[in-house]
Amino acid sequence: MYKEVLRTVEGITEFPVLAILIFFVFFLILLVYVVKLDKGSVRHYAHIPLEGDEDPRFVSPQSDSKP
Amino acid sequence: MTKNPTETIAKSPGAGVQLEHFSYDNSIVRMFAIATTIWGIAGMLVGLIAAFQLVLPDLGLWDGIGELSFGRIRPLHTNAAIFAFVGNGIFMGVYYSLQRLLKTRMYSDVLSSIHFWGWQLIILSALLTLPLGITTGKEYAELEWPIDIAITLVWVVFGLNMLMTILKRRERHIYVAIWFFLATWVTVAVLHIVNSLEMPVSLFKSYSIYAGVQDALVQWWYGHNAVAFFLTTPYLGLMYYFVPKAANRPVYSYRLSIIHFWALIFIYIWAGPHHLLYTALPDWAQSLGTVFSVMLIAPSWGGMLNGLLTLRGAWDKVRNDPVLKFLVVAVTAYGMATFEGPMLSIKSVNAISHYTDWTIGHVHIGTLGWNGFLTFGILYWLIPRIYNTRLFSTKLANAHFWIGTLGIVMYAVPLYWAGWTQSLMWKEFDGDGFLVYNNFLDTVLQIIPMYWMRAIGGTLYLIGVFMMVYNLIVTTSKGQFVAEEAASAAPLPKNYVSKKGEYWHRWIERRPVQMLVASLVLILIGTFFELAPSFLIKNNVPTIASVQPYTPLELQGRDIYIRAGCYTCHSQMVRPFRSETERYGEYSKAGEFVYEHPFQWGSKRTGPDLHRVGKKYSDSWHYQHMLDPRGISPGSIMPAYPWLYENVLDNSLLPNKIRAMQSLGVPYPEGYDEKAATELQQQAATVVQNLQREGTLDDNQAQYIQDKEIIALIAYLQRLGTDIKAKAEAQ
Ligand code: HEC
Repeated sequence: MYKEVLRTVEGITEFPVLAILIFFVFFLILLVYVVKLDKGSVRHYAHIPLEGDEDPRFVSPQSDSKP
Repeated sequence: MTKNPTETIAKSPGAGVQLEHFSYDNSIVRMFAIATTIWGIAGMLVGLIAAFQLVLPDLGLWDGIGELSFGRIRPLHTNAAIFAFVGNGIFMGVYYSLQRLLKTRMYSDVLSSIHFWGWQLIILSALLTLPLGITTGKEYAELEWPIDIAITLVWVVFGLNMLMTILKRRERHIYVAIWFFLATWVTVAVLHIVNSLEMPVSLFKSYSIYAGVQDALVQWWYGHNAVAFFLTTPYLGLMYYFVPKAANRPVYSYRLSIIHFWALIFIYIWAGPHHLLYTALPDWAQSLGTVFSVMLIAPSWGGMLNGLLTLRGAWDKVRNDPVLKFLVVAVTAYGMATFEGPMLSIKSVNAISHYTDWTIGHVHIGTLGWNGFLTFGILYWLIPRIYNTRLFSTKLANAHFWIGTLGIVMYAVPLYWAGWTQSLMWKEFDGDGFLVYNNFLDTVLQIIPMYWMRAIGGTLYLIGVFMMVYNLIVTTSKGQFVAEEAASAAPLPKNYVSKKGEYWHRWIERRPVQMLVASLVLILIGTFFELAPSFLIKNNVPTIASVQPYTPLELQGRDIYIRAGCYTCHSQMVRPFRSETERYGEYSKAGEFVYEHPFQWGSKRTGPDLHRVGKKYSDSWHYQHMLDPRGISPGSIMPAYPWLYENVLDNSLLPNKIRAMQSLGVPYPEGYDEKAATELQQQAATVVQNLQREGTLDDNQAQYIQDKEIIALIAYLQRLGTDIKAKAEAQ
């Protein structure tokens, strides 16, 4: 009986279809963008956490077995 | 691999050689680290209490003490684990990583400090109000409206501090971890505000402005996304910072992390309805929830693999380094939970798993494994650093790792077993078509051993945490706290000229405000699809003519039900399965809940469903059962509620309550707030007469009990689900 009422809402049956459609369009654009990213920048971005202020004590070779 | 600051500057186009010197604020990081540890222990202790209450309901430690009864302890546990333990864990990690990723100090020490103390005050107020039964009765959003407002304010302070820090950064690109932080911030804000809209009755009491199906939908849109955007996305941000840090190598694929981010925040928001499969929620909304839940596997596993593959070629390190061990198991637990979650959203699986301990097991893989272990890994990594020393004992940390892992297994496996066992027992029919376990209690007694094992598993896990605390305290005593950590970096050039052919994302990556708006738009799309239809029909929800508002006495009884947290053990939603209609009666219809502010469908059946319990037993049965459950149902694990027989029912707020309900659209006649008290007395007298007639009370007792809370509760229980029975009888 709930469904009957919902059917009276304009276009309710298209909701799920529209939802999936929106998602796929969005996903495609995202994919194209990611593939087109240039290598150099990606490399730089990925290294951001490792830049900067490291205390030498923690990045010395020993650090491999550090706590 | 590690560059020094000078190299960074040389890379920045147009940068002057002038280095700026500044310091990172470690004090705020330490404060949040202490808070996450203390509240973590507190939250887990409360969880242990809840676990032991289920096997030892009669233990003198809590038996007969209202503040400690299961229905109040359980919300305290969930709120403490989520908002106090994980919440402070998030802030610890954000305040540490944000400064370093952006090469700048936090924007304002004052805001940091307001954020910290504000958040702890909120936790403290939860600690005081929840045991007192001051609750909205909505899972994971139990805190009452003044605290909700405080949460909003503190959240804004946090957001402002974060955003301003991003704006004064010295690194052009906003690293992916920060996107996760931003999306977390904006989404939690939306979730919290929309779900917390309530009509105050007094300082400590309010009613949700939504009712029934709509309230359920909003609540699980919130509940599901609290898992997504409080327990998951901020911790993914932490993963993308601390895993590379601890392994000392960059994330496996930065491209994948971009997809992970956008796909995850986009899909997550749609999946809420999977908590409401087979309920009175419309079918298409249920299906949409399922489809998006299954799709969630893709980005979740993309993210998990990205985390694990970051350690490629470093597995030898994992063997020796407890930090990496904790991180690896955390990320693996994330993978397990995000595989299981979508499985549980498939209707046929959900038909078995829902309302059982399976869900509790699933959730704890997430919280103990993913959130807990990631937090511990970060603490072991971070504390020695800000104390400029080394961890006191690697051995002890390793021991913590193993006892913690064992604890998780001992916790989760018995609950999976219990959930599976109980569900099959609920559904088992004999050859003649009768339920084999007609008595619900039989299915409870069967899983008590599993509850014992769970309690032991939880204990092991907590012992591990104590080992960590000892280890870290000794570590700090050996080191020197570095409150201000010196750093230097070049400022960003003022006039940045974007390169030709830059894509929109590159544009957006550099602009936190736009990023915030983009995330907001994405989650609003999902929100719209999920919630809009139920709001469009707000005024014409199919009302069943025989469904009437509660009488004043029943309304008061319902508030006692909410205060006692009965919803933590009892559902009020009979699903349309033969095994349920046979056991409980007619399945629940959407139209029966139109006056339910808030809805009380529940999510766990430690006890039987109560939606059709009205008129099932005599008033005397309830009178005896609430006083001494084990006297009526030997072996029951329901707490006794003796205080309901002593507390005088407080009717001072009744007119306010009636008016609040009226303003929410409940059709009490005009001026009813004045008459309500009289009607309440009359109905109470009837209940007491019944009890006398049934021989439960003598005259003296009747006189005494007439104005006590238990009478209201009985009236409420006897009303439950009877409105449509009334219709059937009338026909
Ligand atoms: C720790 C979990 C737990 C809590 C909390 C709890 N119950 Fe129960 N309840 C049970 C269990 C288990 C049973 C089944 C055994 C029995 O009859 O006691 C039960 C049975 C019942 C029944 C009988 C249902 C039937 O159809 O036979 C009623 C009524 C009931 N509970 C009401 C309440 C109310 C009201 C509250 C809150 C004040 C409450 N319960 C809180 C676990 C709980």
